[in-house]
Amino acid sequence: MLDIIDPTPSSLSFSHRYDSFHSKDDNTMSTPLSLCREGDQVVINKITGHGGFKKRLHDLGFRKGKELKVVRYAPLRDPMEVDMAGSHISLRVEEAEQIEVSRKNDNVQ
Amino acid sequence: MTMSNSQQAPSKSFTFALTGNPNCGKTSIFNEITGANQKVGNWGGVTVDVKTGSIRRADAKLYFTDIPGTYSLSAYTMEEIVARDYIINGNTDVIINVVDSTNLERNLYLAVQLIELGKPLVLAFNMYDELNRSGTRIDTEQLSHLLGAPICYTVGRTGKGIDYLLETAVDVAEHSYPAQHTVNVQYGPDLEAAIEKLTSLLDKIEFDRRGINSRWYALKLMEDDELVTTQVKETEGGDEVLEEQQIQLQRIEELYHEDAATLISEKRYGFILGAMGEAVKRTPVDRINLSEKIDGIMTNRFLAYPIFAAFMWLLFQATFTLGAYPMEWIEAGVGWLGSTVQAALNPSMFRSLLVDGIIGGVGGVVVFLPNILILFFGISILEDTGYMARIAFIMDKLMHRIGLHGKSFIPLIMGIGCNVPAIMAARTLESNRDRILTILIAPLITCSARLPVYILFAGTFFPQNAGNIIFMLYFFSFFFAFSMGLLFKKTLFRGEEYPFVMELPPYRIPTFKSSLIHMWEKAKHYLQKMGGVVLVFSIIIWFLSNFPQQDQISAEYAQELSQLQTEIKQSEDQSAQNRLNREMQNLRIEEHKETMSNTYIGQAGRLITPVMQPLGFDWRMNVSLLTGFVAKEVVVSTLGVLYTVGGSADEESEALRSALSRAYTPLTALAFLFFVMLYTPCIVAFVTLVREIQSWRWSLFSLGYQIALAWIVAFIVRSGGILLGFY
Repeated sequence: MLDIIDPTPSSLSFSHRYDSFHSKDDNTMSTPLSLCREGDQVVINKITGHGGFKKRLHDLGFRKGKELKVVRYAPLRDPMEVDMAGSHISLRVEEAEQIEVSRKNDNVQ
Repeated sequence: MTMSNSQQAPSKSFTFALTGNPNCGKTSIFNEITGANQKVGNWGGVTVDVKTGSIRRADAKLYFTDIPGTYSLSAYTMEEIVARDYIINGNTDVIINVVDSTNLERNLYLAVQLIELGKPLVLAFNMYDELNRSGTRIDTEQLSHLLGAPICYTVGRTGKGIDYLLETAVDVAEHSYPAQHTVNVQYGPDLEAAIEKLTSLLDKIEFDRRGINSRWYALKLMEDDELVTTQVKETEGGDEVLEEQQIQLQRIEELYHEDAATLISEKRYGFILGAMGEAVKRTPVDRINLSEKIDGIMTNRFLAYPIFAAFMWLLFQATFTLGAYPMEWIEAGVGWLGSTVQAALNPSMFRSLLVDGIIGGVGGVVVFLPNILILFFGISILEDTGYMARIAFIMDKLMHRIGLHGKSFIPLIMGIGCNVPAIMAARTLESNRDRILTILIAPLITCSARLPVYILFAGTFFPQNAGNIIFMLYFFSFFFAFSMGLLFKKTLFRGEEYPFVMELPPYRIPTFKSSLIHMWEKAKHYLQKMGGVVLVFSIIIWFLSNFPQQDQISAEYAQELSQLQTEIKQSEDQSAQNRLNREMQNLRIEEHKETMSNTYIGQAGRLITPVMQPLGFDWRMNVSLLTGFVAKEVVVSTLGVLYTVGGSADEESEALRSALSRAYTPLTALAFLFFVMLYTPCIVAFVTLVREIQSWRWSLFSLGYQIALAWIVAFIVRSGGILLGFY
């Protein structure tokens, strides 16, 4: 399979935020969902967003320990589509930054 | 669904509210029960209004309300607020929660919250056929016991199981259903302690609980629910409760490093998974998901936009090329009716009213029915297949650029049909800001009522390129909507945007019947509007364009005409006769023009002439634009009335076309088309807008900016054309 270019436009500005996640959470493999690639299978560690966004994610079934599969990115690389136990949810890359996950496998190399 | 035919008056009446997640098939069940054919869309927010219907069953009258789809009771979108308000405040005997049984875990999340409300509840496990096919087995009795509510299995598409659902719902309403017990989710010692504390505090204050226990309100406070918090805050003694709320929220946060809302949500899912573990047996099947495969193509990086554009192109070709045939037949029919009536009656004011006012006016709108039917059929298919949601998916990046949500594209594209549902569809948008912005630009999208004007003018002035001109107009209407969106975002709506998270429902094959129903729904709406508003206004316009009667002018012309007639009779020379005949014809047109320009409507049209002069519009165009505020399609019928000479109602559209082509240059016609495209939508749309935007300031702003934009753009089109030498 082709190597897919990093879809996040804001990957640079992200690095310091990423560190701040780590300071609180010791899960070693934690990465934001937004850095995942098409086909990645991940497990949610934490949702760091706030208010309505977080509630909406809960309503749709997003929570710690839930498995997700990154289905695809939209043609313009934003938003992204994830498959959660058969239901497909789309969310913006900037929102996916607020969902911390650990990869189950990297099948895109 | 069978309805009781018993003649005696029903002795009992019950009310039921249908609730459920978006795309759970709730609306099709509602339709199946009540027979009311209203929208069943795959887009999670088609039912924006609360709809009701009623049936008779045995000796009872049953009232049903179809409330907007919602994922939970933590109200998030406008629709969910409506839904929650209805569930909490509505006077329903029983809540029927429609559950997509192929997605139990998420659908039961709402069910659990309804169970916690403690109101009588029936669960309708819908799409049961799909569940069966997937090999999942449910121990109904067990699950029903665990959830504390009866479970019925339904298939909304076929109506299977709905009779039993009704029977159960009535039983629950009559309290004859075997013991419903209250089930409470246990939230663990720390949360329970907090809930208990708040419950006892809430018990001490007086506020309208709507028959719901204090525990529920305490739970909502722990979820940091905005609406309940506000309600408590406004209650005397509420401050004390909120103080405790803050203490408890903080305590939980310190204990768990997680907010209480997250923990509550996790516990609810825990409860659901626990219940499912005991009562639902799933056979893991390797599903070949067709939906995913389709999406692999539909949202493919390279194919998505070409496919989208192709669908749009197809929709247009079908609407205009295919629609042209029935259009001709209707036109011939209207023409025949007009001339028949004309021949049957003596010349009188009444005949003029009937032929020129009513048949001419209404006929001019009926003619476009085929176009509208096809267009709506296409839009229904887009919605029912689930492709509409993919449009939002592939469009979000673009929409986001102009400060809108991918979902905003749906109201905008719905606007192609009619601005009224488009404005209402903006309710799916979470933030007020997104909603107002979408509502402000939605009316710029060319609606179906503008189409008759496009067809008339494009067909008349650009017969070789009518399709291209119309396509260009649609393109520009989106262009202006986006540009104005960007402008407003940069000026009026600076600030934070709201999240975009939505479900992409699986692709479903729409039944031909349901697409036909949707098409008919919209066509009915169009016809009703025509039958009512347009008929009334055809008559009013006929009156305004025939009164005051100018007896003096008429008499003068009559004298000149009879003089010419005698001259013709006396003349022996053929060429002289022809000349006199031409003179007579010109005189008639002259008379018509003069009487018309002195009528009430002519006076109004002339009044605004100085303003419209730079656009090249004459008083007739001005008058038609004025009447177009009633409904855009009236522009056509007004021009029809204003240009119909005498009793020549035969082939009315053709007569109008030739009259128009004599009166205006193609450039003026183009400027007029742009003006019609952009200026204020019809009165119905405006009324909807006022209601939805809930602010007179914004409503008037909307009105003003559209007229200004229309004028400026029409001016640019005309001046530009003149500069380029197209006069």
